[in-house]
Amino acid sequence: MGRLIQAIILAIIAAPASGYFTGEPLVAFLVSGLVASVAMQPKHSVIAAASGIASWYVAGFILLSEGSGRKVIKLLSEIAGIPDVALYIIPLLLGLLVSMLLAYSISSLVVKR
Amino acid sequence: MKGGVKSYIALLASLIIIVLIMMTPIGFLLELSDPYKGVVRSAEAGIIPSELELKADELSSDVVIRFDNVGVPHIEASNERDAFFAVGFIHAWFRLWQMDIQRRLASGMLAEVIGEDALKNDVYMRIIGLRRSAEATSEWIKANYPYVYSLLEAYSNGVNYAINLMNKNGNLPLMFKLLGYKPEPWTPVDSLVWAKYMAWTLTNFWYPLHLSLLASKLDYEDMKILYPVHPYYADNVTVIPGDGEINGKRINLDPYMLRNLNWFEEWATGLDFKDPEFAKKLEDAVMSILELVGERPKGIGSNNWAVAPSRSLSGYAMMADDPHLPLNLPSLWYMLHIRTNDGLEVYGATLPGIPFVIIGYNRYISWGLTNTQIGVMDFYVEKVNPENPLLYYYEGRWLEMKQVEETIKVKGGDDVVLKVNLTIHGPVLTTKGLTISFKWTGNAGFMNDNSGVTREAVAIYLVNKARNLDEFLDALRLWDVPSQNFMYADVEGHIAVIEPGLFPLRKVTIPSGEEMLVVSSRSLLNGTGGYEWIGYIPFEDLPASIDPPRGFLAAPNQMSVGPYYPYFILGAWWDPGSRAHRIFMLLSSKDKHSIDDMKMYQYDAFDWYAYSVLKVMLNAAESYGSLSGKASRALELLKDWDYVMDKDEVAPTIWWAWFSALQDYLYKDYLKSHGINVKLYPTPDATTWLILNMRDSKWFKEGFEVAMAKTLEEAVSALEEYLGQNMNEWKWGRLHVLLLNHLSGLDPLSRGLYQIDGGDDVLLNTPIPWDLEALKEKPTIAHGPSLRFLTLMYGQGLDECRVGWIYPGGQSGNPVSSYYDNLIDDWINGSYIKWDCAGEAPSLIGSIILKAGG
Repeated sequence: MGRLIQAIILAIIAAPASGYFTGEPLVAFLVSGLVASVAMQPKHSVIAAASGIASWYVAGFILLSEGSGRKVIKLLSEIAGIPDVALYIIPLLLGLLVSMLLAYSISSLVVKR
Repeated sequence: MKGGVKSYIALLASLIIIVLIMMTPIGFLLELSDPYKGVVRSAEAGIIPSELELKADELSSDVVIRFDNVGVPHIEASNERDAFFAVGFIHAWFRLWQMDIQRRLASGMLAEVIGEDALKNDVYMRIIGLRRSAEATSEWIKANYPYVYSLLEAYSNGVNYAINLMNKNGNLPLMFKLLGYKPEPWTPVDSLVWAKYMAWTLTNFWYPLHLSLLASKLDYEDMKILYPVHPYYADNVTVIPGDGEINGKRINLDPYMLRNLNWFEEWATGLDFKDPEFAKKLEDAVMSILELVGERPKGIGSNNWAVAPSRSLSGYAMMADDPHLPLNLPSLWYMLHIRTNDGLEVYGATLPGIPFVIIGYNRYISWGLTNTQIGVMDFYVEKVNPENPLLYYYEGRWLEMKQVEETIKVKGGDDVVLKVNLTIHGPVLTTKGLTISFKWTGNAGFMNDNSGVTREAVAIYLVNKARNLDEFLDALRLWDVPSQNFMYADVEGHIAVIEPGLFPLRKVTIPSGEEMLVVSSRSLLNGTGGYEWIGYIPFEDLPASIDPPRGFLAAPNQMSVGPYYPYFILGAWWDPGSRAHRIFMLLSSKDKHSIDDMKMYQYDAFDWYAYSVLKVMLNAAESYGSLSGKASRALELLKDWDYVMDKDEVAPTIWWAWFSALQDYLYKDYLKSHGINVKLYPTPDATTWLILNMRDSKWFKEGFEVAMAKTLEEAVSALEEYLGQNMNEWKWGRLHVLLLNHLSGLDPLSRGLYQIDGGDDVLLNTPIPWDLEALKEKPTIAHGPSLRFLTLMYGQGLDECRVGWIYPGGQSGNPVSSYYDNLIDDWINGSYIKWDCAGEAPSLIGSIILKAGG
């Protein structure tokens, strides 16, 4: 349980920080997945990874909470010809998918060894 | 074992997703929608902060920038260098992508960020060589005007400061993120290349090409009527009052005889346009150049005028200026106000990318610009050695072309290496059919040495600082390209207009044996020598008028000077003069004018051509006698029309369609039958001339009355097809629509369609083509009054002067800013932003303080 908490704390700090400093969402996903794997147990790692992505997303959304930010997303959706809701969901889904799969696989391989 | 497989599968799946993100558009979309550095952060670019303090090491002292309620920055600095640093910063803060794409457009570097679609532009620009000339100009200014160069550098530093800040904060403008690139640092050459580009677009280089093609196919007697050397109705509305005499000098030959000469003949050009073999080659060459440079844009031009105190209701001089240029978002213009402790205070319109105020006023003077439309370039047919295409014949010997290698980077493709060949005249534009090079003042330079050095950046800086007419005129000694009508009004009550610029002179011997000097040419010239520029018109002889007795001056691109001007202007691409006639009408209509009158005049949509010919057309169509019901109704509507191109009226639509049908009737088959497959119709003044003076000529094949009736019927049928059966719904605004297209062409960033008043060749110049067939493509207005600017110059000092301005857009380039499009409605409605100039800037809404770092 201690490791889970440790992993969650690490993930919710590391994911938004790496996303903020690098400006690369993929880096945030990888960092979240890798850091979460310190929970050792696959199920716990998955939870930690999801927490990391959630914090990355929520912290990001604090920036988005300003109206003009949402206006740009709306504009982008018009340019890309896709609903703006997709632009909010895509990063979240991809983030969860990558980081949870990564955390699960790494931690289960480590446990196995 | 089972768990192991699962974990490998999970690892594999995550790797596949990572690869997918990296390799497919999903990744790009993810990057754009990233909440930290994706497009969401672009919302911060081009926003007016309520209070922001930044530290800039390059500054010698603090700069305070206060924004008023329309987004205009009021910059206060202790010295000019700091002020222009702030101008660079502010331009970039609000318009960085526009600045970047403009310098790329002018430098031929668009393909690097857009891809292969932009390659044609880049090839074109690399051949023209604007960047090569801008580089030479930059070096020359650095060596000869180091202080002005230091201001260009300060401006660049300001731009780069903003770029670094945006890079650091991840809030580069949206278009950088959409195109996936970051801006390179700004340099003085980037400012100068945009100035060169603006000059290039005002050269009217299409005309000698078009006329050469026409001359090779048409009888000269027809050419003379349809494409006269000087416009028909221009002699009594010239920019400079009088008959053309200047400094006691007059042309020593009969100018009317000169206008009647065939300037395409061998004595004038060294070419035989009537030789079928040459004509064929010429067609190939001209068509290949037109393919490269694109079609001539419609509606480039401008209005300006000034009213002396004697004709001003307030007793103070007034000036109006509205440049007709591309109407895009973000707008071409950016308004600002600079005040420094070392003596500079200037308000007005800047071009993002260029530090100085282009159209504006200071405590003492105001000025505005229109294009002179005088030829500033010549095309030369080079004689190339059949054995070696890099050798060309010039003045009795073979010379080798200079080759410049230009590497064009292409996004998603290989670099393209282009070899630009240069003759003594300039870059070779084509080798198809003929080898044609061109010489342009912007490349030839003020020393006429092909250095590309021009000094307008220095001139406009000095204009910004001028305190009276003498200083203003002195500054314009350095103005080289584009040649402009500088309109002037000052607080001492002077008004003036001067046409500074480089006007190339050639010596010509006319058939009667007399030698004379002509400006530029109407066609291609023989490049083997004998048709060369021998210099430019001296500054003292440039067209100019100061405080004319009649109390007003006007320069809406019409003929510059009367017929007796000492230099015969052969390359004359003047507006035929409909706008000039109208503004002369208005300014002569009453003794005194108010500033409100000036506003009305800028918004005037009275069609002078309709006023000139419509009654004759109506009488003829009516006398024909057997018009259809619809055509008769159209005729009745036109009878009651006041000639104003009002968007809510039906008559302007019918007039436009009728005149379009008439032009088709006159020229379409005629040009086709002579093998001309490009739509090179004469200007409307030629059609007006035919209607008023040649009604019994061959041009109206079946007779004038039949022609009028037939074309009216055609116009009505076409309008029925496109606008429906109900004539009451044929309002002009349905055809005359404005699209403010974003520079990227992306619809969500563009604004419109707006139904607006105005038309082609009216003061409110917002043309759609005179072309019924074009209706299929739903044409929109792309050029027009890109800025309306007015000054009333009273009192000594800025705090007592008055100014009004408006442009169709907004100060910010950020599409989600409320300052992106906030001025459009006012522009459409003819309203103005009025500055009272009462010391402090009005209704301040935000500020940026740039703290000196050192």
